[in-house]
Amino acid sequence: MRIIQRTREFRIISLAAITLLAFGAAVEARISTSTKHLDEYINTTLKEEGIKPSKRSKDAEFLRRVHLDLNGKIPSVEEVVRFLDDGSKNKREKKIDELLGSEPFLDNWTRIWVNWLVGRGNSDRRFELTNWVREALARNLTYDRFVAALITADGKITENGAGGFLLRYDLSPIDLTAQTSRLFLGLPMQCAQCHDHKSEEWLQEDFYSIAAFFATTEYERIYEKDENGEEEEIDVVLRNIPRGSVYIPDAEQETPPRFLDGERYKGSPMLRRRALSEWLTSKENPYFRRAIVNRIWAHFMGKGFVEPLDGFGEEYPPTHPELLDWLADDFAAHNYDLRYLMRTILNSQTYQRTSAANKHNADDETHYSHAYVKPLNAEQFFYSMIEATGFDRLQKRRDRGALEHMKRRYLERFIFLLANGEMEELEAFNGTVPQALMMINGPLVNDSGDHKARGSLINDILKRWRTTADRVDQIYLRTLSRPATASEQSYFKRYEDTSLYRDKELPYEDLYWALLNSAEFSLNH
Amino acid sequence: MNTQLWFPENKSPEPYDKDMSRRSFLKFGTSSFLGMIAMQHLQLPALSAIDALPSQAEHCIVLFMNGGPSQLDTFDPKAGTANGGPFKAISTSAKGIEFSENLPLLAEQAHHLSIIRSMVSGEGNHERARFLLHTGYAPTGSVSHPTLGSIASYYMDDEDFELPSCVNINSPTFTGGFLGAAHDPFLVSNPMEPLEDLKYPPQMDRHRFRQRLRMLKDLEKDFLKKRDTRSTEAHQAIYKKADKLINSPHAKAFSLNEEPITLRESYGMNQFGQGCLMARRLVEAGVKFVEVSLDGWDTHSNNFESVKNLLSVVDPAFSALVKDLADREILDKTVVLWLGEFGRTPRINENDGRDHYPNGWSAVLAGGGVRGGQAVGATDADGIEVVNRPVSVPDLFASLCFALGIDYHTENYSRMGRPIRVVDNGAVVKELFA
Repeated sequence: MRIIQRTREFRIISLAAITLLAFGAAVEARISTSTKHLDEYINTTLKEEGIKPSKRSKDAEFLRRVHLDLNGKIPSVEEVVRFLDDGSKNKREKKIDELLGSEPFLDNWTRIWVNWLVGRGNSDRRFELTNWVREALARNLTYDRFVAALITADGKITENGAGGFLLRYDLSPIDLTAQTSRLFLGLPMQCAQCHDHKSEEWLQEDFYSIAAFFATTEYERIYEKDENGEEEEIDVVLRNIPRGSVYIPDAEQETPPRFLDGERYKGSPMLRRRALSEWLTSKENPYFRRAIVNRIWAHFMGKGFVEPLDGFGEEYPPTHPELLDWLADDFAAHNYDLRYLMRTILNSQTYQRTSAANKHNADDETHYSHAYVKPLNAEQFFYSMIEATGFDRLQKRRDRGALEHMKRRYLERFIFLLANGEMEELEAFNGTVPQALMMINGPLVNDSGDHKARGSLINDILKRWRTTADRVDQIYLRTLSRPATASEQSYFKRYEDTSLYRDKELPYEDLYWALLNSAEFSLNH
Repeated sequence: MNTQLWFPENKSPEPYDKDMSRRSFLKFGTSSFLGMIAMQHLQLPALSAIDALPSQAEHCIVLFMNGGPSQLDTFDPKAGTANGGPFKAISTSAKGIEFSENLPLLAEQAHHLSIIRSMVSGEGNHERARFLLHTGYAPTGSVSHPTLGSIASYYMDDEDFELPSCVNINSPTFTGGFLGAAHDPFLVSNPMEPLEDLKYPPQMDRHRFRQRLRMLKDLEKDFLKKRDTRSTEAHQAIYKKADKLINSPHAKAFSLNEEPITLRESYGMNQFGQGCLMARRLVEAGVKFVEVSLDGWDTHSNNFESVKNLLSVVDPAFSALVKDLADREILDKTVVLWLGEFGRTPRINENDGRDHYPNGWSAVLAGGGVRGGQAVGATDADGIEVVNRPVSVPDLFASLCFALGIDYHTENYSRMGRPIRVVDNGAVVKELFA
């Protein structure tokens, strides 16, 4: 009963938190000392290496990038125009804060976190986990508490969705240890499951010592008969139990719980997960904060200080060790506030450089002299296509149910076209034959690009805008989130003039198609 | 309201028989494992002799039974024992080999089939086992191993061929992993429906499409000049490949209407049967690898009724495929593999079902230089323990690679730059080819 109340309260707080964040943001938009420190460090190393950094990005370039990184899709035309017209000096800081407090940000980062936690495939109680993550992000739950809640989840899944993390791995101590170490510590310990790690100091015993913390948990599935008399699972209850052990294969003796620093856990079996979470998220444990700072940094910058993200250790030393440690400590000092960390990075010159290389830095892949291009992942590509093609607008005119169904089917195909079922965060939507077929022949592109179809995007643009230059600009704004350049305008003029089409509007369809299919559209740059 | 408890002492929520697995694990885990290593060393000269044989197969078709099919009710019957269940065993066209009575048509093709009755894989969780049986590796989370079809595509792909070299029918498997998205399987989600996106939309023709491609190339030139350009050519190449596919005469391999109705019906007018027929058409057209999947094998309860229904789909489809390939004289060039992610417990549970069992189950091979009409390995009278010639998943993969002429010792690099063999710790099961 008490749990139910707490959940309700929780929802109210989360709504309040969104409002507060958006409000607080507008007041506080200025560059923090953390951001300045970051830029100083990067600029000093660039100078030492003799690499000349690229210029600041143009406003449109910045807006598209920050939108994709925070909201997971390109901005709407209206938003692009408003931002380009905004003459205020601190409009980038304001935009970052606006996005960090927005609903699409919550949608996108919920998706990202759920994928990180349990992968892209269907998982047990994904729905509850998703709702829990969204609420946690909405009220800006600090990262240490976020992780602790996932590790120590108990009670009914319908009341505490955090349990979806443990359930995804079926409470398997082995799988939970592998996932906990790689995601929350950045350590590639999963190799030590089967053998002592080849190049690192981790032993099979270390792995099983952590696994032992997960061994004293059970779940209970609760069924009820539905109206047809069929048994239906209505809930899952997670709880701690007094017994449970893990064995290294072939070992006679169980492996007792022990932290990675060698300290044995001697407390109650009922509190093992709590003890693990306290050790994990403690300020004494630098891996915990470094792993998440590296992960968020890689998400925004296109490259982690440590790559792969779960490669912390001797084998893959960080490219900027002092900066990583400094950012990690700063993050901890600011109460593990993920939005603070994001704001620190996004407001930096380093993040806001253009992705266009200059003569001196084209070969640089590690010093952040220019923004590194990132391929759009499946979700980013899909939601950007939905935005660019005006799919949601079309929905108002046609049968809603049928279009929602179509959208879901598209998303499934997009995810499959890319996905692995595994948990590869940096998996790119980088062009396969089925993707190309969908872009060439599929209805998502062609229906919206058919100028004769009433209400289609191109039909709409041609109706509303009369001059060639305006029409071309609109198509560019729709797809690439920027107006066309002078040379692009004249290229189109030539294309139109030399075209042999009897139907004079067909060149606009071609332009729309070409831009949706361009590298500039399918990359985050 | 009723409740089901699960305690962490059980490794899996759908536990396979613990005592049995522990016993057999001990057996393979210690003495037999050393035995196997010793055996491999002793066999080295014989193996290299086999390695020297010219490979025969140019194509591979996998029939994947999602959920894990029961070996006792298919290819390793134990009729008359407590574990055997209600089905009888029937004789086949291969001397001394019996199948379950639910496979009468396939029994007539047994002289083409080689039954491995001693698969030992150790992974009893669906997801992990499915990964293992598709890649040859247990999942580790950090390395994205390519699926078998992608491996075939990587080593056997013909640049000029218009169709994808690796096709999945009915459901997606895994990706090309670190071998690259270019080797991802091409999905046909329902072979009984026309393939999506294979035809130009109205108003489009090849000429106009090429014009669009040219425009695309012109317009992205400026953007790409100042950015990492490695991907551009790949991007253009993919579009050209898609264009070739749309315009290829081979694309009709995807449409089954050209087949005589009697032949279509002999495969069974269902997604799996028609998928098998499409697999034959694709292979005939030159596709290297096709996987056709059939769901529904996770028979924890009501095993026998379910298996009977499933086999009424498998028996006509699998037998028609083998016969059809043989009639067209392409069976020798096509290695066919039937299996699931694991087998099922010999012991029948209280719900008349069978649970997961990775410690002694069956896989079936045909064609591609595999000697038909034999069984390799065996389980004991109760079907519990492998008593002869255990075959691991890497052994099976090594054998497939051998049949396809892929050097499975080759190393490729994972995205982290870790060298990874095509097959690790496996050896060719030479009995299959002898």
